[in-house]
Amino acid sequence: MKILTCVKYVPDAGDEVGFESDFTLGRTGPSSKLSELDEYAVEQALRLRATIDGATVTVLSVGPAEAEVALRKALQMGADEAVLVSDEAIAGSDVFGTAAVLIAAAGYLDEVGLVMCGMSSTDAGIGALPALLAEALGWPLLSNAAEVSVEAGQARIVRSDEFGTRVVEAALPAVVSVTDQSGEPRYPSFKDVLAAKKKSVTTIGLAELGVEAALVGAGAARVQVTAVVRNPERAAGRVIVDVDGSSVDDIVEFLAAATK
Amino acid sequence: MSKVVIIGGGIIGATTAYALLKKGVTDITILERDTVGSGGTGKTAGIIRCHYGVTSISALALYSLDFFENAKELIGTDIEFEQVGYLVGIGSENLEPFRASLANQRSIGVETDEISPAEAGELWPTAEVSDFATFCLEKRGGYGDGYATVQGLAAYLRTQGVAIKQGAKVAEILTSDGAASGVKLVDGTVIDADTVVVAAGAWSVPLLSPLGIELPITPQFVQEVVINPGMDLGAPPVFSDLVSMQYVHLRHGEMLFGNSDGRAITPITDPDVYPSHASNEAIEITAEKAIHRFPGVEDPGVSTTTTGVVDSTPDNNPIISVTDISGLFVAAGMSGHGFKISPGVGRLMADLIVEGDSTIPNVTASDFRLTRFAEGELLLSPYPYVGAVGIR
Ligand SMILES: Cc1cc2nc3c(=O)[nH]c(=O)nc-3n(C[C@H](O)[C@H](O)[C@H](O)COP(=O)(O)OP(=O)(O)OC[C@H]3O[C@@H](n4cnc5c(N)ncnc54)[C@H](O)[C@@H]3O)c2cc1C
Repeated sequence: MKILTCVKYVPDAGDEVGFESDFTLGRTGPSSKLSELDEYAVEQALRLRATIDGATVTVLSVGPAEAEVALRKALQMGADEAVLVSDEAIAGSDVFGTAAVLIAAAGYLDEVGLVMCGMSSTDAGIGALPALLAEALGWPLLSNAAEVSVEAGQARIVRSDEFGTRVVEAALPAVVSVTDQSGEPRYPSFKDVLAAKKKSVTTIGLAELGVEAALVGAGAARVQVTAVVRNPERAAGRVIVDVDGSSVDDIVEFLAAATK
Repeated sequence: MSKVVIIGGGIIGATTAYALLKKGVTDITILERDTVGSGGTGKTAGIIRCHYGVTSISALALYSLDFFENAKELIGTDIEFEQVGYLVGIGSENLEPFRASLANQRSIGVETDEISPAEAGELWPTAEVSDFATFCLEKRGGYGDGYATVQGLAAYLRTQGVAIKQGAKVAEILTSDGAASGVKLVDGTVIDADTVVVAAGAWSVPLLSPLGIELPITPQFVQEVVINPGMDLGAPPVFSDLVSMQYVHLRHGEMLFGNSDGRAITPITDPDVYPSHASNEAIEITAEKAIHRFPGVEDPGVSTTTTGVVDSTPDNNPIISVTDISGLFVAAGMSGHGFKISPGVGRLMADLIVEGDSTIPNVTASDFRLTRFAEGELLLSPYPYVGAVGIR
């Protein structure tokens, strides 16, 4: 059984944010990398692999050629194989377009028994992808898992949210998304780093997947970004200097004025 | 001379102010665009050694050791200098330059002893040492903490009346009648001075080019990999491995690996734009070298990576110099080894400002002049090592 883990290549939070002329986010900043939230999905996939006989982990990304960097990182962590779907026609896709490509890729790869995702991307932060995948595949969705296990063909997750903690189970095949509470992603061991060096990233285009170009890309996107505006500069704060303990009065006065 | 403005709140700006104070100069202002230590100084691996082929550099490093060793008494703070020693291992192809360099270092007072691979192996029991011809151990070497050092210095300088302005980015150096007259900040504030010292690393270039002074400094992106050895390695000396071309030291139980074969260092155009983490390839190279060199570390893994920018000159040696404009000085282009020599560099800068020449034993001021590049007289080691980048 393949554990298919979907990962995204994103700009680093520390990079200056850039936008393309069509207002889509510039993906290839100097520090662009594997989305940190997806590292949790890779981690859980690797941990599950160790508990399921014959399981392997395939990491899958849709993105520009540079996205290979993200897949290589996942290989260094210990994934078995990596697939990149890259095609000029995909540029500008919204989450629906990305989902269409991932679904086709899940069908193209044999023996996928479990699809794993992070809870959302660190750049767009939409978080709808796991549900879209589950819906289209007709598989159950176990979302926002803080714990995951698989036993006798059943996936089981623990999810904590504002309603409390729940245990949810479903039969495989299923889609599971994991949160940043699911367990710290491992640091690559040198043995895995050297093993990863020998692995290659398979790159495929839309033609291999049989996805029509018209269904993806900026043209098909249901989300249209029409403008990008900068947050207004924050006004300078007020510093209250306290030499004799009188600042309490100043603070109270300030708060009173602010709450009027 | 009365008013000195230093541009750059890194270790070089701070040590320059410190040395000027010791010479009785009191009106000193340091201008830092961001916060003290936010440049290369805050990222330094902090390795301290005197092992250099260029006599003046070795002598600057030797002078600097006194500061690192006595910082607590001198400035009143612990700067976290870990004097674990500095070990250099070389292959047989480098025996000749190595011994010649050691002899030269000893002649100026550096304490360094040649030791056998077996003795080195006792210091680093997890290391493979059979492919080294010989080693030297510099007992006074080790590693420091750039950030702690510059912060300690800044705190001391403030107590002595030095003004340190953070968030003060210099837009322009002002001159009148061919002499430095002050600086203008990006917010338009003008600060008068009759002496201006440019100690702004790679950012010094755009500050000086409007005045017709071209610094041959290239910003270079460097990557280091921090390894979790998964075991207690004690406190072995910093290890400069001139066979595999890497340097390794232990910091808080983790091993910091730097690559010295040149592959981990890449020229970039903007010193403010570079990756925040090491590339997959840099990690692979480190893994290969580390697995070969440290077979005794059973299951090493990547803990984190660090990156930074160094300001390299064509001969990989600093520019500590007067300029064509009177009252305008430059101390930049540290080329990735400015921390260990910084107290010496600051002192030499102060010497140039106050005395007009070096007062440090065995340091020839003209070695570091800016005009050496145009004159084609690069400052190179007479004992170059085969295969190593030129900072040894
Ligand atoms: C990863 C790494 C590892 C290193 N390892 C070692 C080592 O092991 N041993 C060693 O000796 N050296 C090492 N170095 C080199 C050493 O850290 C540097 O040479 C040294 O810190 C440089 O100090 P500096 O003051 O010249 O520059 P910086 O610390 O970069 O200071 C320059 C300052 O100028 C400020 N500035 C820039 N423009 C302006 C402006 N317009 N106005 C006002 N301020 C401005 C910047 O914000 C910055 O704070 C290493 C460097 C790096 C990056």
